[in-house]
Amino acid sequence: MLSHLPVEILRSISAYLPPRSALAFILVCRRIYRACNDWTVWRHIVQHATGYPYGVPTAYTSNSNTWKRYIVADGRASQGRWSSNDIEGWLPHIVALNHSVTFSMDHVSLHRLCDPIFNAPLLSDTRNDRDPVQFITNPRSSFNAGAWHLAQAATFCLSARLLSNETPTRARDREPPQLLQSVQWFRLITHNRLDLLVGDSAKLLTMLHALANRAVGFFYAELHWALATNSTPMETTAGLPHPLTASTIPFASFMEPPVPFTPRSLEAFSKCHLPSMTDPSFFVDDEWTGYTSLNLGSGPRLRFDGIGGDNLDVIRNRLDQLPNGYFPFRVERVIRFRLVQTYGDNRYQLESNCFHNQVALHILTVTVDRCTGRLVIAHRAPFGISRGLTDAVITPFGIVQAEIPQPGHWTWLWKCNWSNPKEPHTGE
Amino acid sequence: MATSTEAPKTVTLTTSDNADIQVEREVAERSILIKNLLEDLGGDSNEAIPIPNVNEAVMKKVLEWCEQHRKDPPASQDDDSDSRKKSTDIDEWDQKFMQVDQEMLFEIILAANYLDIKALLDVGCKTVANMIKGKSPDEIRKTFNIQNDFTPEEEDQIRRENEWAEDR
Repeated sequence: MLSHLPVEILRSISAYLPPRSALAFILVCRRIYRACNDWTVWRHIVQHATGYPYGVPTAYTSNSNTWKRYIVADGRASQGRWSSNDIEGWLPHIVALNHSVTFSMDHVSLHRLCDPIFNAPLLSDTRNDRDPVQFITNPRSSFNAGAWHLAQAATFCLSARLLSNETPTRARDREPPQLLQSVQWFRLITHNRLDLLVGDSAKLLTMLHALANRAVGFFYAELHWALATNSTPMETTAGLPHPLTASTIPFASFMEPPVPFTPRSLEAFSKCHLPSMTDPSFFVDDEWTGYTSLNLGSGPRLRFDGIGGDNLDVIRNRLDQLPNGYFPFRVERVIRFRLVQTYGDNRYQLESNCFHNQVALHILTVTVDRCTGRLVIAHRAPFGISRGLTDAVITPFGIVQAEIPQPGHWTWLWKCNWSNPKEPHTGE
Repeated sequence: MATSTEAPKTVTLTTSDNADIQVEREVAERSILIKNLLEDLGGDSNEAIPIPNVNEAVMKKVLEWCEQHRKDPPASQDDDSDSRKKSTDIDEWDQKFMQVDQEMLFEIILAANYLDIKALLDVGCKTVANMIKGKSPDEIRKTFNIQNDFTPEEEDQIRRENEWAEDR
């Protein structure tokens, strides 16, 4: 009889079960419960579960209950209709490990959870700060820090879900999605850091991370539409990078999410990508690419300009070669960063090569704050015209920056090797 | 070094119900237990080997599997490295082989465990796992005729553990 088999054999049988069945199995009788509710079984199942394509990093699993938490999370993943408890408990924790739930998440409930927070207007503290074309500089939000941590985690999941639409809808016969301009943003730059209480400063940074995560999914949807309709400044997609997808971003390699079902894990989650992603090598070791949305004005047409897109100035004047008669460097189709300066307070400065998109040449100077993931980006053209400083953050999806001064005008940069070569980017 | 023209060597196994079964040595050596025993007895012993934990019917079934898999490469020690393959896939011949009543299935698993035939043990465990997959606890109990010996409180407690409700 099954329940009389030796303990080792019961465990071997259990180890071959998918997570939900293994949880059902231990409810059958006492003997099976005692034999199979065992961390060696849970570990084996997690390591073989198809839901966790990269497994679960053993570094985070110091206690024996840990493995079962990943099993329970995997079991919940197939249910849907999620509440804030699911966000707090386990969902972002496993999306950050590239769990397969990413591709089937119940995005309706995710929207329902975070829309109220994002749709409430950020208010300005000061009267003289109401220039409609400027982002506000001293925002107040009626939601507390905990709500913003939830919003950051929920939109991480939501944008990962939006990035997992492997077969984008045919855009030609549809209205362009008008999503990005609904994402608010504000300027932290003008703040004197000493004016802010530590708690306020932390909340503002969480808000920036949440808003940036939110922008990514909308950016992606608009970008797809734009590429399918050749809505670029030169009305061609030649040379433009492929969009990335949730399956080509190796979240598990640079995120260290908290273990599911551990208390106060959303605060830990909000910073769990920073140790790896703010290391100078993260920027310096790989080439970067990305897009800028040029949604100026209120017309229905969305335009996106991508790094590497054919630039007539570059082609005509052979700026991508040396010598070119203009610059002592080549203008490139990708971004490369180098470390130029390290400051004492966990900050450092990067400078980029000179790169081009379809309409312009660019050089970036990026100051990275390792503690907060905040980036301050100075942008100039090689002729020395500076566009001033903008606020950006490093998100699990890459660098996200809202351009001044127009809402809906964003730049999103990612590593070239995150681009999905299978992702079609033209309207066949 | 043996030459290939020799007749295949055979061994005799004596089962728990005192039946003698003659079988080619290569087939019997799919069992690590028998292989080690034969090595301990030295080269050309003709003694019958007692297998006191396995009866004739089960032994014949196990040897049928060993015959089919006599040329299989030895199992790799650590199958954790090739993780994430579909772990409950069973090849077609083995699936047919395992179409037996539950009693025989468990006897084969116990025999494979005792005789130390890892690949057969795995096929047995996978077969049982496939019978459990996708079923509720109640359906599993019915399938295998198991009595629920939990008190309602215990069952409730384990359900809550499985939900991880208490940590939130």
